[in-house]
Amino acid sequence: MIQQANLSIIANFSDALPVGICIIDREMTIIFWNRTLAGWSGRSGEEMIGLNLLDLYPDLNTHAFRTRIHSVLDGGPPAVFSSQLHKTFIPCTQSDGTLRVQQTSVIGYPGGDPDHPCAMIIIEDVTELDREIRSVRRMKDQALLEVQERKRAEEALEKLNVKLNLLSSVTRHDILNKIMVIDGFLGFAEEMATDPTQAEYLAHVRAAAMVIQNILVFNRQYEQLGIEEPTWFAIDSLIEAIDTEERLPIRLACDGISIYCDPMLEKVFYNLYDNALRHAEGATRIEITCQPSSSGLRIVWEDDGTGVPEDEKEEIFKRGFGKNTGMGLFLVREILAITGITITETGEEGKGARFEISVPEGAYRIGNPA
Amino acid sequence: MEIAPQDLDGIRELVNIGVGKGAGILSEMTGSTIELTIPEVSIYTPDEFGQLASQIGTERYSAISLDFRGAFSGMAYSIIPADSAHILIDAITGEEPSDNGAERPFTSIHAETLKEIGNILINGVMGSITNVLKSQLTYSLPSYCEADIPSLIQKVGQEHREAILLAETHMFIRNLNIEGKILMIMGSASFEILVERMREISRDSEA
Repeated sequence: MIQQANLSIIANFSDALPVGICIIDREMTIIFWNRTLAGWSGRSGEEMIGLNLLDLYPDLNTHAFRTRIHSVLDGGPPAVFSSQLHKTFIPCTQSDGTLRVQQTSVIGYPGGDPDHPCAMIIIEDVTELDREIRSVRRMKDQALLEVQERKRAEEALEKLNVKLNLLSSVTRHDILNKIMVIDGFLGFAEEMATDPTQAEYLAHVRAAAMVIQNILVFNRQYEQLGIEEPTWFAIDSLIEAIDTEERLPIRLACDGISIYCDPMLEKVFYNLYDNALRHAEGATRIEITCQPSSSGLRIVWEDDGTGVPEDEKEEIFKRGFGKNTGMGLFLVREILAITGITITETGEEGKGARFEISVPEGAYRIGNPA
Repeated sequence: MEIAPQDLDGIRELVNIGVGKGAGILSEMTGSTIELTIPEVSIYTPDEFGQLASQIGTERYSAISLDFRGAFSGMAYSIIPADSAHILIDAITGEEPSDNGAERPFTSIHAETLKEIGNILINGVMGSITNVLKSQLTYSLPSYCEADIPSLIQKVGQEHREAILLAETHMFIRNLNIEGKILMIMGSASFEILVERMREISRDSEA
């Protein structure tokens, strides 16, 4: 009588729960089967009550299952059945034909007759969770595989790079030696040349040899680009290191500002300075200012020379442009680009050159590096 | 309470029976032979908890806990080093052990699997103890957590934190050797009841 009253209380609340609940007695006879479980299994409570759980679901009729459930019926601790070890406790087929994945706990049922111990089986549907976890795991495994493949490819590239660098370095060294020989013999030939046409041809040969030498020197510098990790550089220290010899004084207003850049950053300022010496006719000074803003830092390098013609503002950053090596500003832009810094020429022809260097947020700081 | 060597032997036997029963169920459920070594059992009083922490260190463990109340009250833990959790799960579920176990996410499904393994072992031991005590206890549902041993001890209420029974064993499964521990933390009254009951059984068997 008490048991019946308790079962009706359980029915009242358990039918509203999203978990399957079944109560069995010591003989494993079903005495309660909630609405959720009826929905999952397609078998109503009226149909199930009075039937034997082990007869209905023979997979549960193993020694291990029986022992664990009986231990609960004997007053022992709850037993849990995980979805990894038992995909399903009470097989329930879904509309797509697959079984619901379940996590189950079996606990002693205290509401029954003390002389007739019962156990409550609480089943949680973890199908969706199981599917999501498997999908995440597949994605993670795939990503790890790709990372491993990428790592192998990087290692192979690194080895190849070492070989190429060695080959390039040896070749460069040999060619520079030969250019030195050409230079020496050209000197003798120029001294001996009496014919003006012959002298002109020799001058062309010398110019071509010098271009080859410049290309090789640039090649050596370019090879160093990105090899070392970027780091922080104080702008004032780099500018102080430029040897101006009073030819073109630099006025700097970037106190305590550092930028995060490739270690070849010093070449950026050196090349800009060299560029001014070579091309800024009539220039009397160089001014460098730093303007922090919400989007980053703007470093402005300007002189009061002749400036850059409108149609050359972009061309000057291309490899091979210009009267000297044609590598300086190309290298400048490449060095800065490693850490996302950009450079453009924004001056007015006739009033001087103006280079704007835009440093993104996070790649500059105010206060010298410790 | 003074613990005689024969008390410790009796407790070791109780734990051994329980752990053996658990290993049998695990073997049957997984279809793999799972063997557990005879546990090394030691008892610690509150004064010796510091000694226990220094012996075991501050390694993180995956722990399954079960709270029990009644004439014998306290908390039982089944614990394995957290680093071994994936290895044990792969071994138990028959999955290929993964090279990158440490990088794999530990999900609630994995926690549930460990909970079942720990539940089987703890229930084995609790079954042996309640058989001896012949008293009914009430239990919580097992739960999973990750912590070092001093933190696990701290989780137990002060009144039930007066004696610690530590059983250390090794689980052999699919050529793997996984260290495992059963930690039972209880009040001194509970511990005295257990020891007294063991002594009674011993006297009865000698008589």
